[in-house]
Amino acid sequence: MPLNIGSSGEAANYLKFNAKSGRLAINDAEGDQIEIANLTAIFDLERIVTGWLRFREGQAPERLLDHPNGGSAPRPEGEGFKRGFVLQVYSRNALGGVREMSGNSLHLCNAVNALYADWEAGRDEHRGQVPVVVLDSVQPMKDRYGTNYRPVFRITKWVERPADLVEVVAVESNVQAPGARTSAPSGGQKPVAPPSQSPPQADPMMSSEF
Amino acid sequence: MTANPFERHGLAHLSASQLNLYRASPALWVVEYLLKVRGSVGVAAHCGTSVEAGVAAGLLDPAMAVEDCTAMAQKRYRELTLLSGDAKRDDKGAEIPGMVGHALEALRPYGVPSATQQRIEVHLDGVAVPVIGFKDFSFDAHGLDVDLKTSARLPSQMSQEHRVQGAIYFSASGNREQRFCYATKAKCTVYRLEEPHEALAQARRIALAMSRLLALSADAAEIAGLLVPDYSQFRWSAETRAAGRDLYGI
Repeated sequence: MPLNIGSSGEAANYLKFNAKSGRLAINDAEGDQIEIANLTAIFDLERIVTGWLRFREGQAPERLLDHPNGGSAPRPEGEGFKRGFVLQVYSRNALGGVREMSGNSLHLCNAVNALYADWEAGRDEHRGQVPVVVLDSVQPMKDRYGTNYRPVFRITKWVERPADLVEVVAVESNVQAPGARTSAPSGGQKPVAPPSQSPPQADPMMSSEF
Repeated sequence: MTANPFERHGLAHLSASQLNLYRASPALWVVEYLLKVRGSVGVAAHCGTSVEAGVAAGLLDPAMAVEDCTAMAQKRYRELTLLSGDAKRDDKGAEIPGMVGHALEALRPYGVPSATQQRIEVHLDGVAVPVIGFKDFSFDAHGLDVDLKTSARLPSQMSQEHRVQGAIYFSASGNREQRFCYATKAKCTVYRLEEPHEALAQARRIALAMSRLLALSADAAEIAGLLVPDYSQFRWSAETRAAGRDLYGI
């Protein structure tokens, strides 16, 4: 079954794919981006999450993730949200450990969708293992927006889940679902106490509008 | 000057009750507000009015004994329901002492209200007529307002309808905090209106939808032709149901 993408915010350590340049990049300790020429890493497709993502210049990425039981989250209010994914990627040598990869661009999502299909086809045979994935190539894709690049990922082998990927990395929404009221606790609302200070008694000579 | 859609149908203003009714049952809203057919007020509503009178007296005069506040409420209830043939009249009346007592216990710590039944008016963006209402209790010293609701059961949270009402008050009062005090015969709790801007967006959305419907025709019957009544809804009274059958043909 294909992923529910379409087309966590920018994690502390991320891996991103720039569709314009066709290059992968990571952030260093100072927050600068460093391009990666080649990539071989474990893609934790078993724990991939999907949902609505929005990336805006100068702002932290926003995401409303789908329900853990598989149901789609409703489209958040506001322009620019597209279906996307959040995925943990691991390589001690190439990436310095675990990094978060997310995206909602058409070509990246299509590439991840194809990779996911390959993973689904092989997972029964490799229960308990995770796929090692390489970035085989990038394909130029011409459309009305110009030339963008679609990555081509390929599973090269399967290995045991490394210790650094054993713990589930929490991926959370940071966008409210439309109509949701985050401050209302599940099952009800919290009553409020009277104001902390009683006001001075009103002058009984003052008339009210009663 | 061309009248706006509301004024073409004789509506000079809206209210939270109208907005909530329109969302719940546009078909009934047409009967009540365009055809001007209203059902008789039920004993539950009279109970609420009476309890509010007793609680208001007890808040404005903190020294007034709760029993006296209750007696005032009961007297008011008897006046309002004198001719009511509702079998639930006495049972409902029996809830008044508990409601008055618990509401005063919850609200007397707020102090004396700066106003009661204060009229408010607010213009929602893009809506041609104002929305009006009356705030039960204003507490200027605390910068908040409290609306009193009586019911048989304590809700676990504010309903969507009360949120719309609270949002109207919120906007009209310059974004003051709105609280709703829910009193039953056994308990009382006070909730704060949370995310008021979201509730206000709902109110505006309802009013705009109403406006678009009314703009389609100046003829109430023609507008009714676009709607279908659901008489299983509790809001329909015998009077409005009869009018609905005439209007909708079902």
